[in-house]
Amino acid sequence: MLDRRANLSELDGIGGSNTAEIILEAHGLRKEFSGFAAVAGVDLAVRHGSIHALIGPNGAGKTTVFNLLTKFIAPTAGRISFEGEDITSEPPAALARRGIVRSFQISAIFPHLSVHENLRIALQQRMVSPLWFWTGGQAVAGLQPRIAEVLEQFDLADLADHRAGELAYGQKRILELATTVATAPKLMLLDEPTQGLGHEDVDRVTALIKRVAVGRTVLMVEHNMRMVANVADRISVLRRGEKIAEGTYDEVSRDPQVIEAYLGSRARRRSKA
Amino acid sequence: MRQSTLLLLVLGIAALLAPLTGLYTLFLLKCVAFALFAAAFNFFTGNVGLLSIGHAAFFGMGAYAAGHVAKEWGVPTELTLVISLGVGAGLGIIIGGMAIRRQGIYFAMITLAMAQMIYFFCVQAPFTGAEDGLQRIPRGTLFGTLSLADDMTLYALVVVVALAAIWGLQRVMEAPFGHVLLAIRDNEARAISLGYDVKAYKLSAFVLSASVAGLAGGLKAITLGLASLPDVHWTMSGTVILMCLLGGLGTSLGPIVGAIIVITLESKLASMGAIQIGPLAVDFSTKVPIVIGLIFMSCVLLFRKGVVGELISAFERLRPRGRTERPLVRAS
Repeated sequence: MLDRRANLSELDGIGGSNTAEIILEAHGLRKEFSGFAAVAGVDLAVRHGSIHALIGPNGAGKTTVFNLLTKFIAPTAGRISFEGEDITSEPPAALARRGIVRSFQISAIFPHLSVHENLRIALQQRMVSPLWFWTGGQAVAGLQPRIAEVLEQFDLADLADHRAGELAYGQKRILELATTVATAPKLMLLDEPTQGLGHEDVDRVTALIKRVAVGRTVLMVEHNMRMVANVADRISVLRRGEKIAEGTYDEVSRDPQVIEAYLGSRARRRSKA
Repeated sequence: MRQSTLLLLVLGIAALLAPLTGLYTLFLLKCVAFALFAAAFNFFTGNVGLLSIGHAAFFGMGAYAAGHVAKEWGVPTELTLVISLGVGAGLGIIIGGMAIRRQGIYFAMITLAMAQMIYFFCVQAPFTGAEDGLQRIPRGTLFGTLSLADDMTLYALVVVVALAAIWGLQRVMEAPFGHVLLAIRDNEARAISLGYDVKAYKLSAFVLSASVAGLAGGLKAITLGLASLPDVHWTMSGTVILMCLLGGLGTSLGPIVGAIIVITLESKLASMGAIQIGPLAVDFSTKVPIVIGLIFMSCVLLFRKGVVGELISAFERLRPRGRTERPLVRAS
């Protein structure tokens, strides 16, 4: 294992600044569900400090790629590395401890805990262990200033004592974003952060993401093209489990394959209707 | 006041007052032992949300272990109880280690299957006395000096041990560890994505629960002087589930209330004898399972949260809620 790490860091050195910038890399990622390839050999490289968006028409395999990257499902083939280290066979919880934290399409909060407790759970992970069940609350009391800071930053201070399950949908999504940011992840993976939100709320969440992405790397799956155009530095377009284009918004929006994928599916939908 | 302190206070007062009611001390002792068993079961199933149908194994083996070391080796009582706790913990690691990887009904079935293996082991093993069980288990002495032959002395010891254990479990739930358990029950995938090793947390909770169930078995063996096959049979797991459901699963006081209700019913019905209802002579002493079953059905149909659970939600409904929902962001 040690040898392998040494080799990888040597390779980084040889590759120069270009590879050192890459924080998360996937090679030939493939996932088959009983013969059907939901993801058919996707290469992906997320640069350090960028906002990278994964887009594509319905059923393109965006969420599957996302779940593969966060190890919630195991790839049929392919390799994933984070900061130059192979993480293909690591369990999902270990990834979080490396600094990769993900959000979910459905709001990922703890509904029976208060907003404050939701944040504390996110922050106390390094301070508790399954064996230290007797450790009292004073061990995590030091988190209080940080929790207050995050509550303030996300405009949740008034709601701190509410049960998270009682919040309005948009508030839940903001709380989810807050808990993800609170852990100060190196890489934040957001699964459709604006899904189900109204117009103004999309703008609000977009602004929040832009603000919290400073100094971090974000990889997100997103449907809302306006939002993607607004925040993403780099976009990968998936279609039927394959990556068909990658680049800035201007680049991919001019790509004939991308236009075909989007207009094609729209045209088909129209003919159905 | 912390909930654990409050719980300790309420139960402490109740335990002090109980002997004044003139109830049979042995009956009270049985109530305390089963209340602890129900609290131990509730600690895992109520907080982690996985149904264990194998807790009789921990309770029964705790009882057998206590009975064996007290009767055959003359081990002092305090050490006997530590041993039954240890037996519960050891079995908890083995059974929990195998079951914890599974979810829902599969988890329940593995715990049941393992507990049945323990049961059949107890039927065959030489030290359990098979059908007779271990009888006339001595109460022994505390720290080698204080004789526990007197009912009230024993009652004091059992209450102190049981309250300490119940308080301990409640305190664990109020600690950061307990919050992680609640978070896992609420949204396991999110807990994983925040870096928690959820299986290790669940296993830890299961072993804690099993240890206290073992201790409850030990207390039961010492107080009643008997450890026998019904303690380790699956119906014992069923009884403890019923106690918790009846009192209120997931509440801290509910399982204790439920245990007292079930034990009271069992002993009252058993001593009732035949009653003439119209043309029918019904002997309730043989109909305990039917009555318990009917109560269980009405619990599921009418008060699903259990006695304490329903009281808590009635109280919450009455309390005026000053909070107004401020729509920070509207859903589309």
